[in-house]
Amino acid sequence: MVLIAGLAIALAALYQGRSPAEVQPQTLNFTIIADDNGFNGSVQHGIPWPIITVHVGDNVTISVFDDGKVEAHGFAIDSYFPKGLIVGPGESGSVTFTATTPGNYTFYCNIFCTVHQFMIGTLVVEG
Amino acid sequence: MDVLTAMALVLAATFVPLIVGSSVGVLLGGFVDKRIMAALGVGILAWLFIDLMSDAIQLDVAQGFGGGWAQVALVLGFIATFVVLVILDKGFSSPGGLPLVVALLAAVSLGLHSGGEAMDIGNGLASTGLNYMLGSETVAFITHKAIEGLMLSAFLVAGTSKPSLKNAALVSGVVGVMATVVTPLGYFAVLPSTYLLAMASGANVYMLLRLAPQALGEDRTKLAVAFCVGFLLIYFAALLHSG
Repeated sequence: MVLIAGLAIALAALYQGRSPAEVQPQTLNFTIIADDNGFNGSVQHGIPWPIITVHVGDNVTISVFDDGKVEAHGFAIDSYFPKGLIVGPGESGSVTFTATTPGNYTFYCNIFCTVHQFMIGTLVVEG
Repeated sequence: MDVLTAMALVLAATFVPLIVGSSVGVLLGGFVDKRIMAALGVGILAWLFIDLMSDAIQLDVAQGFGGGWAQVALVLGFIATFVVLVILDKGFSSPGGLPLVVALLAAVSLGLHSGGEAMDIGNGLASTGLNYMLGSETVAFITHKAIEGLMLSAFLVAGTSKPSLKNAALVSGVVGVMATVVTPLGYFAVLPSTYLLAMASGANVYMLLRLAPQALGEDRTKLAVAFCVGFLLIYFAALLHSG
């Protein structure tokens, strides 16, 4: 009886309150709209914006669409995608990666566009 | 905001810092060796090329062979602009002097660059209004324009004609007018600025090749330091831009 109770406590400690759904890695898709309003309206919302939350092990795809008609924009993520990508007006690009290390990572426009200072968001990788 | 106001703002934000920067450069040229000034200009141009190629979406190289006509237009814009500038510059093949006409061609080259920026600004002003120019971005823009003026002055100081404030005003005026007249293309979202910036990238190569021979000399340490100062000056303006 003591052994069974001990095993149950040990298993509970292993999961530490995480539901079974959180343990399983997921495939997640996000879209960033880049234009004169920043990333998904970050000019009006304030930075960092948007905030994307994933878990370690998740397979993440972030698509970036330049919804402007004149200016190119960039997208890079600290640690996960430092090389970045650049999209012209009406163009889209995407990056896919597996979240491996917990932490907060900044993503930003990596070229010098005119709304550069507002194109800053956060990728939150939870353990 | 109407288009004429947008054009006036672009003219002010472009011409004023440019004439300040180019005038300071011309005055500085009275005390500093012209090769040093040329090296400073080359350093500035080196960073500008990196910046321009990004804004020109690196000529769509990420598209591979599938970029279509837009990719062809970007590459042709780059190549054709460079070739036309070389043809117009009859002294290109001789590393000798820099007549005033070369400074004017450099001004036209920088005008293409400023034109692409003016399109972006015009587009932002049309959609967001005056608030668009009230942030620290504008400080960064004006700072980098003044440094570009310093670069333009290197063509005057290292040139064969006597550098003068009048010529500094002339080259600054060429850039300011070019930026102003293309602002409506961005304001009315006629076409992407990337094409003009691809042309500006080709023009930047022309300026680099024309100014670099003037930055060669025996005092290599001083020239290398001047190059680095120029590069870091414009890099600093980019840091201001990033916030």
